[in-house]
Amino acid sequence: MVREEHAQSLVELALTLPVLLLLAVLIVTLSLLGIARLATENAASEGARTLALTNDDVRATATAIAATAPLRSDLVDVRIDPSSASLRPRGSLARVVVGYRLALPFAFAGLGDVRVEGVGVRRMEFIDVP
Amino acid sequence: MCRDDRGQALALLVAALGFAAFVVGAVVETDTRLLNRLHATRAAEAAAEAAGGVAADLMLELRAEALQDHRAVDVIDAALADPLLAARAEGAARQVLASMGADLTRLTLNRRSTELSAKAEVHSRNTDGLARVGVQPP
Repeated sequence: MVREEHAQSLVELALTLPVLLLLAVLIVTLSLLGIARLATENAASEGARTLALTNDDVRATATAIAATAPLRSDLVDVRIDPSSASLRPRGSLARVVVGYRLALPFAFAGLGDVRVEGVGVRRMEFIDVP
Repeated sequence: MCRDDRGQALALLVAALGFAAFVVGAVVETDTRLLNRLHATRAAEAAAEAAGGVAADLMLELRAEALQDHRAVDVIDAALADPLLAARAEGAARQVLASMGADLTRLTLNRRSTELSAKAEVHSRNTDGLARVGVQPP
């Protein structure tokens, strides 16, 4: 009788533990996703602001990437629209899109990565003084 | 007693599932609220900066005209007296906000000490945002 109970406990543990672990992973993943969404949104806004003030793609990109902390910078990509500085005169709108590839621990289920994007828009303030 | 023990794992699992559902819901809700708040604040900043940029352009024009005519002028008062400033600033703010999916609730332009203040109140994703910028005269 005692052996049967031990075996039953083991079976119950084997059944419940994976579910509990999956839930824990889900909660952690959702939290990471939330952090990534906040960081990319904030970074895009900071990048757009730098772009509006300097019209410098390199500085805007560097600012955006720096603002994505604590995300991994090698997984961050920055897109600027319009892509050419000459197409962004004072008063026009500039858009900075910061993307982040968040690796999910569900690759076994065909859910490898998810892409998170933040968008920042600013009116160009830069004046090109010769 | 043995039979009572048999349902323990199931009860624990149900309780854990319920708790996990609550935690997941709370995480998603908090994340969405924080993101909406951030978006509304950033939209308000963009709107206030756009309006401030328009005001700065006008103040530059007024300063250039005054220098050409060799007369002294308080460009902040002169800019605020311009009937087109409010409409232009609001247009610029609305243009930025439209591309961010936000609406302008109110734009206030006034003098604050030695600068022209542009305060934007916006509504985005069921959240209110507020930002102010100060524009120094040229």
